[in-house]
Amino acid sequence: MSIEKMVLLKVVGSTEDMNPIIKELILNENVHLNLNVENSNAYANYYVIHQYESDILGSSNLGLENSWNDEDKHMDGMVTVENLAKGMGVKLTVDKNILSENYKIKDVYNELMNIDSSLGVKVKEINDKREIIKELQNFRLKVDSIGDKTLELDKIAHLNCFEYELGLLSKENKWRLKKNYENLSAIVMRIGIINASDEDIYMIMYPKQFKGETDNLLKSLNWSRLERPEGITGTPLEMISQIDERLNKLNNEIDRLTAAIEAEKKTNSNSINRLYNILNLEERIKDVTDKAEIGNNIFAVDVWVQESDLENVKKDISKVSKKYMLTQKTAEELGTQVVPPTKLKNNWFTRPFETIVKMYSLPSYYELDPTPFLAITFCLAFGIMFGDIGQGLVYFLLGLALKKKIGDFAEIVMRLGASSIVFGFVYGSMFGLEHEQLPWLPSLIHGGPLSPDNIPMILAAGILYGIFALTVSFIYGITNSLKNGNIEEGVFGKNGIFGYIFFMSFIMTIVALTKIIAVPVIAPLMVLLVSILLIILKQPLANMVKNHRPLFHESPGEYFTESIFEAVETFLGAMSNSISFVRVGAFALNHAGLFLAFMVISEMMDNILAKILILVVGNILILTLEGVVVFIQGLRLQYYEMFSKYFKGEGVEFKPLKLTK
Amino acid sequence: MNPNMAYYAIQTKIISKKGRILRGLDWEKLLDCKSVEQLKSLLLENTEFSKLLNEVKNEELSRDKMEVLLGKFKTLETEDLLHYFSGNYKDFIESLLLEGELQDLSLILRKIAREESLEGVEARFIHSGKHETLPFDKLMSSKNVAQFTENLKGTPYYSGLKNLTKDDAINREFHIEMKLYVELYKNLMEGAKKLDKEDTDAALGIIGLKIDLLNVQWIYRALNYYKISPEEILNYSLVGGTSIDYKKLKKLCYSKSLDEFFLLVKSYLKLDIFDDIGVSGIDLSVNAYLYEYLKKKKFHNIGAAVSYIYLIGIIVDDFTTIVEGIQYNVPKEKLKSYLAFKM
Repeated sequence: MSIEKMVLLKVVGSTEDMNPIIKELILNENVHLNLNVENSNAYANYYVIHQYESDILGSSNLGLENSWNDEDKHMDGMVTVENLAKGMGVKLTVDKNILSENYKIKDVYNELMNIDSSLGVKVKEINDKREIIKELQNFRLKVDSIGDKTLELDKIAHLNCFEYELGLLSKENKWRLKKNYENLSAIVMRIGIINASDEDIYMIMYPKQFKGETDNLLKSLNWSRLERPEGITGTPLEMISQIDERLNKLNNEIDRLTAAIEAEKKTNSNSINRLYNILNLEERIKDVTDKAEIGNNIFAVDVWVQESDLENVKKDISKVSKKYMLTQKTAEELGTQVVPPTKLKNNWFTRPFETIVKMYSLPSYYELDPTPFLAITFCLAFGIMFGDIGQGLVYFLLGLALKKKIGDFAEIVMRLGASSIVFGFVYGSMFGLEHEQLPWLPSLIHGGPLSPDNIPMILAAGILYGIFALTVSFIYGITNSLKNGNIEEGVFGKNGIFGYIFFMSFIMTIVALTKIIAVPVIAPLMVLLVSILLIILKQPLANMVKNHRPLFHESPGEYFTESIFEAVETFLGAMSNSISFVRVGAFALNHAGLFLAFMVISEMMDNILAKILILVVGNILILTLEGVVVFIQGLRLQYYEMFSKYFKGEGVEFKPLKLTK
Repeated sequence: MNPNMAYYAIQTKIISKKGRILRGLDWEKLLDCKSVEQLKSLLLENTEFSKLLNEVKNEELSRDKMEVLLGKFKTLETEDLLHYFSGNYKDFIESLLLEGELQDLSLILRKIAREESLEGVEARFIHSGKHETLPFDKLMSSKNVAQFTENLKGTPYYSGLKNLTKDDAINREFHIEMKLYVELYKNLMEGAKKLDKEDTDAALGIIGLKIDLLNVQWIYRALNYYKISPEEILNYSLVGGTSIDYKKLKKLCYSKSLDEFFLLVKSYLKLDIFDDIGVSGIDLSVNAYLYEYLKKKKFHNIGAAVSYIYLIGIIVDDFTTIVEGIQYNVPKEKLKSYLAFKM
């Protein structure tokens, strides 16, 4: 339930073994290439290259005879493979198991050329014809959208003094044209509407002598000219029938060609997929070598590996090379200048909630992972606000059913549903019905949430929940700041130790003022004032503690204006924070209240069926509308009230090298 | 309290940032600089600029490199403000970062059209790497203009550039610039409309003025330098200005002479650019106008942040002028008159 420990592995090896080593790193799929080049000094690669140059018996040979290092040739190879696959209808799939055997680039190239020479021409013909079909279909769609299918375009084309053009214009640009129509030396007519498109089809007619001017004008309007395929003439209706005829012919020809290569397809489809994977791997290798430091005879590359995968990675490298050296440093040893990638590690219960955290931002490596805390408090808040055995069960089952289809989100719904069931037992509520209707239903609080005895208790529970959640948020925030050695924020900041003391004394002052607990108001008030004073003085105090000079990083006048305003904000923040959590209790009441409304309506009905129908409709409404509202309110508390206390989230995601892009 | 914006914190942050830049810097001393290095060491003493220059503290800076760094300053300052926002507010401030991306996009496109090498072009980028929205790697792999526009597919800028030819990219550079601006400002206005009413009004007020000024700048250039028809000038203009609606825009585009244009601008914007335009050019005139507007206006909403970001844009332009002034040994008093910021 934290962030995976990372180790920076510096791989230094002989250049002749560079490609095989990098290949292993890619196929291992647990290695994250370090791209934090801004602080390259921290990794000391230049130094390393010199240091090891004599230790590793490398050769200046880059090992290129077995790598596809020519970018253009590689691109061509990939295009050939993709064209062959497209023409033959072979589905290309990334599969690293295909690459377990060694290969020689020369052989790969020859194999590709062989397949291409026997199939290339026919495949190209198929692909070309498909391309023409696509263009024709596209054109047909546009012609078909013309309203008047009998428009005699050929006659218009033969006018002596005028020219015309068909094309597409967006609504926005049409508006511009319309606003300036009186100044145009052309006639603009909309002749068709294209469904599901922002653009419509227009005809523009203009005197021949204004051709240049009209061209430029159309350019300024992002005009897309509708190019007529060669040989297609006549009215739109005639054009459509000519296109259909042509499409038919082309499809028949493709069928004939496909049948002719059927036998070869069977023998070659595996080879094509293998070639595809090899080329993919070569492309990935090139991406990594581009980022590597290369000396006279050795190379160095920095990768991040999870501590638990380290041995595995080392073993893979040792399989392919003897001329290499590995040094490893933990993120902590490297200092805060480097940016290790973040990989969250959570248990089965909290893991789905990572999605909610990532939706906000990924925690940095040096932060605490907020997921477990979020999982618990989110479930708790949802349960309190939406406690019902039956409705919770519906959510749980819904999540269970959709688990395979939508993944994490369904699992979150399952957990929220479970929490709702638990609180359903606390309130004694099932599909909104309570002890009165279902006397056998167990419940912890007597009389349901809406009983006058329980209302203050539930509202207070909301606030208590808030105090608990914010206390833990402060602890997280303080830990995060102190972990990074930030005493100014961690101790004296508004989210630090004195920020927390301020917050608690604020609550206590209110408690004392409202006489909920008999405490003299002066005590918490004094603490409140002292803590706010310390918050205002955070920078000089932190500098005093650390023995840093000067005490102020800017002029004291500027500093105090800024920090006094921040103190005002802290005060307002504490107020809005605590009030915000009243909603937890309020929504619990609202939940029961909403159902009560349906209950009253159903009681007015005489017919038993109508009674049931109303209760069912009520439950559906509550499950959909209120469920969503409560979910959003819960999320809001997390994002705004809690995350702002402790979560910065500027992490870089751990993205291991893989065969796929 | 708006949960998406820590307003008081932003307000104080901006006040102190502005103070450090406008008053904290000794502008007289800056103008006395005789070399880029001297300018760098002066700026390094300033808290705001030292963030920008710390990394190159020990490097010797060329004029080009200094200009790129200054360009990045606006990006850095905008990123700095982002910490105080969330939700739609964060999205909106993020969209103010897009201008940097568009400048870099034009840079790549220009080089590709002229068949120049793209080597080292990344070093001249000013956009935010953290908030990148365009596929820069893909764009840079384009071999020609057609491939470039193809690679833009799926971005909002595709529709404006889809018919661009190599010839257009070289001879009608304004086409690229204005089409990108159209999308940028559309995006900004859509973002602004998702904020609370008061913030929407404030943001649209500043963006609308910026649109007016960009239009004035564009039409002036078009009338003065490009031989294109008024219809085209109008089509390339931006919509959504505060003081210049479409009807007025049309009048500006159809001005029969520059004098008529100046008179119209004066009546629409109360902007008298006629006097010093010959000396300092249109860019300075509009910057000075915007600077005065932003200085006078007090915002108690998101306008404070937007106004600050635009202000930084003006300051960056002024610094670029200073760097150029150093290069060409422009006398101090003359250089002073080329700045939008008045000491």
